[in-house]
Amino acid sequence: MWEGIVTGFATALTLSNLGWVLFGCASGTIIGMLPGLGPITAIALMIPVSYSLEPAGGLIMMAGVYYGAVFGGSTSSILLNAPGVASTVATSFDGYPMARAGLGGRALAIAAYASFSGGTLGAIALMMFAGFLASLALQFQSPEYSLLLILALSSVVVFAEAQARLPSLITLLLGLMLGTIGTDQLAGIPRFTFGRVDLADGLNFVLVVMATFALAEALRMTLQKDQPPPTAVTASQLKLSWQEGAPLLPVIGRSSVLGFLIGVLPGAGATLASFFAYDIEKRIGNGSREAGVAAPEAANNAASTGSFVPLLTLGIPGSGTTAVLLGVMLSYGLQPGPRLLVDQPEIFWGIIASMYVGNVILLALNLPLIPQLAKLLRLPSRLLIPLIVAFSLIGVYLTTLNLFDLYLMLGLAVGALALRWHNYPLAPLLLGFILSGLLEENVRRTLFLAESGWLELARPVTLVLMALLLIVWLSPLRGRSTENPKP
Amino acid sequence: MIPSGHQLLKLLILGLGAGYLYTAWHIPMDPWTAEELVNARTLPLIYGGLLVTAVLMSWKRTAPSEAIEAGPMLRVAGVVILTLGFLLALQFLNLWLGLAGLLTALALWLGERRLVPITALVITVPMVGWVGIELLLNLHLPD
Amino acid sequence: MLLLVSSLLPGAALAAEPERLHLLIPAGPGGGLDSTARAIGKALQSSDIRAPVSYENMTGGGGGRALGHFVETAQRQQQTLLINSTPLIVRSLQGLFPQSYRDLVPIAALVAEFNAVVVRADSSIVSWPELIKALQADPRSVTTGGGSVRGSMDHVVLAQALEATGINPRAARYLPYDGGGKAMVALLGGEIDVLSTGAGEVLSYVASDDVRVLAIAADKRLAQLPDVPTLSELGTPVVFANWRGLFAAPGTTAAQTDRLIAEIEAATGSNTWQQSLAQYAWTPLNLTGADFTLYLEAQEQQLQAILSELGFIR
Repeated sequence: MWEGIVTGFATALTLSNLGWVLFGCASGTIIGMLPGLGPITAIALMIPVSYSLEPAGGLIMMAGVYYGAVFGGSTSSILLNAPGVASTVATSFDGYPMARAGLGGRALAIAAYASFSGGTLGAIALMMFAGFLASLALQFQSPEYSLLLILALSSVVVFAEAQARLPSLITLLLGLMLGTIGTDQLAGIPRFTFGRVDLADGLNFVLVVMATFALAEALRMTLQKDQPPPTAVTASQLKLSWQEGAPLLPVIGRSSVLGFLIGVLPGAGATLASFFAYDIEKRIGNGSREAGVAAPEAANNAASTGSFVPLLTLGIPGSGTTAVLLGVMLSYGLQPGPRLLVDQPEIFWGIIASMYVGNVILLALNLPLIPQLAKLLRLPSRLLIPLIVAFSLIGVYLTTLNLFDLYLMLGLAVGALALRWHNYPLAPLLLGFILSGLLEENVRRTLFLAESGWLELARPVTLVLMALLLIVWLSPLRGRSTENPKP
Repeated sequence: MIPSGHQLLKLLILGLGAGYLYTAWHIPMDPWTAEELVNARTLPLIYGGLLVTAVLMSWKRTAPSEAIEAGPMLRVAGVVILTLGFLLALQFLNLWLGLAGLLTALALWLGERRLVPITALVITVPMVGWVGIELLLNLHLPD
Repeated sequence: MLLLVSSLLPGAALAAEPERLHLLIPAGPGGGLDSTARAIGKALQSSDIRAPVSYENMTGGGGGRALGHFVETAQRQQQTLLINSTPLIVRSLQGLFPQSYRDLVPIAALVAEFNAVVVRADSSIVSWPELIKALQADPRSVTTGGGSVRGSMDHVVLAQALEATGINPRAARYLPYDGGGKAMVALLGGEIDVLSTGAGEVLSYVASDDVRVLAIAADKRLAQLPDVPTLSELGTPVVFANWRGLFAAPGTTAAQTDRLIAEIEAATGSNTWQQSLAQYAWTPLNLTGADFTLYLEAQEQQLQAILSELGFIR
């Protein structure tokens, strides 16, 4: 393996490949910041560039684009409450309130450091355990997925404050219901489409997130009195002192490990990872807003790295982004999968080594940029609102190129505003929407398999997950006895 | 008694749940699906049923929401109507030109009167969008 | 290179600078349709037949939105080609698309992919006859699966093959997955015993000895899998190709159609295209114009028969 690592760094550190990582990170960051353009689009847009490169250089550049775009996405998530990808939704929970309180620069800096650490730890783990993890990913079949998803959905309701549990459940169900619109994943039957072709593929994620988060937030700001903009962000706020940074280190550590492990699972890895990491910090950690930004960012970056495990070792794309990367690899005549490490070790290790390099470059590139970006927050709301409205409209239009979706988004945003105004949390709605399809697909397959006996489904991983699920479900009972002692 | 905004909202969600349940019950099924115990209708029916139950359970719950005055309400309605107007105008207007119009109208409606910030906003956003997305990234927008 | 191309093309199209061409892709980036479109675009461009070639990924409606858009705006799409594949026929037959291939002008088929029936390398089932025997004894004893919904190609090919051997396809268990990759995880992880998916998706797993291919639904053995028998050899005459091909907008003049056909023929003769075929392990399917139309008609009839028999067309 050490031989491989040396080969990898030898590949990644050639001058031209370093240049391509830099180019990839920079363009990825910029594209990721644009409305509606996430890592998938960023990589797709770079395909023509990659044609002119050697396989190693091209893939290294693409990996840079990927990280850059993920990072660029968290910027709009924090500054405008407009997450461009599902995996940065959790970042906006605490990041955006920090930005509104004038701490946008600090939130961005924490995000940058946490992403860096998560990505780097992920790359180390990928180097050491790729082979072992591939076999773990194979252990995750429909029953395991079903339980994991039910666990994620339960925690978002159970871990809410006592009086917010019922509203959380209601919005969660609304999200699950929104997710059932479109063609049924198993039988191919159109559902809730009312005969419209626009609805046959279901609602687009960017549409739902822009409507319920960005646009609804702009409308909510309109409801409030014109507030003075948060105070200016100075460079000094960017510097996290050791005293402030130290408590975040364990947060980043745990979240990275968690993120990487979940990211290995093909499916909604990075999203689930960021939500779980956030939930855990809010529940078990000290629950500070800083931790609330650091946890999901470390987790989603570690998970992005983790998603390379099934791609490189099994040839199976774990996410939309790695699916596009798979296409790029195929266009080079590379066949990712069990043979890649044997046949083309320089590619395999080169990509992994470029992940370290990419993370360093990304951090160096973005820290100086943060104060400039944070200036956006000094706009008074009468200018910021039009900006957010425009940002969300372009975002959705560029994603789906469909006018119908814009009308739908406006309608959803008004509904989301009504919910928010009456203290219904919207995060469960989004989580429900994101996971709805995956949940239904896996639950239905599981029940289908259970036909031949439930006992067959009692496997080590399912038993562990069931135990966790039981703990989550029972935790409110314990909470109640401590929260309201009998008078 | 006039129902409060919150009760109205719950009523609306209840109606939504009922409509959803009705539609879920009428999802067409091919003969294969119809034979299955768990099919295309099952999960939607569960979601809808749970939603209706949850809303009924929370019927008595009052939310500590702030009362909305007519003024801010009007402001929101204005933003929504202006956006709607923009969407209608997109049928015959270029995206970036329409966007410039929307930005101007929104800034004016929200009380911005200074010429410089409005001009800056109106020119920068569509320009960055047009140059970045159409020229540099060469993304094709349908006309 | 230019000289070679010139000799293949009717003279008129060549004198001037190459014109632009737009390719409309009814799927997201990264998949088979997208890579095919980009590969043929690259061939057109590098042979100086058309330049620049631009691409548009229009997802939605399982491809229905791109199809609808292309037909509605046909007037403006004279320099645009739509890439499509077998699901166009399946979905039209099922009434999911209001349009069909008859609303388009078929230009050329480019590649074909055949379905393979695959088991794990350590499976107790080692041949197609054994699979049939196991299913005949108890149709629920073997769980099959595929990378697409029930009633789509992966399923239909398998169902047709089972039916041909006298097994009621409805009695066999079929688990659909979201894409061939996830179905492969299910096969390797042991959730399903038999996988029906495109032959191209299994090659690397065959190379690493993780899976065994029992049969392919092709008319002759594939160059990449010379030891794998076709279903027809095994006495089950099921041949089913998933083609990918190009279509022009309705109302395209005969002259323009001929020109496009000549251009695509030249592009598929180029080295660039041959390289892409090798890299992606695609089987070329060179059918143009009227031949392509006849091929589509035949496949529509075949599918019409299977789908209504299986109850997927009401």
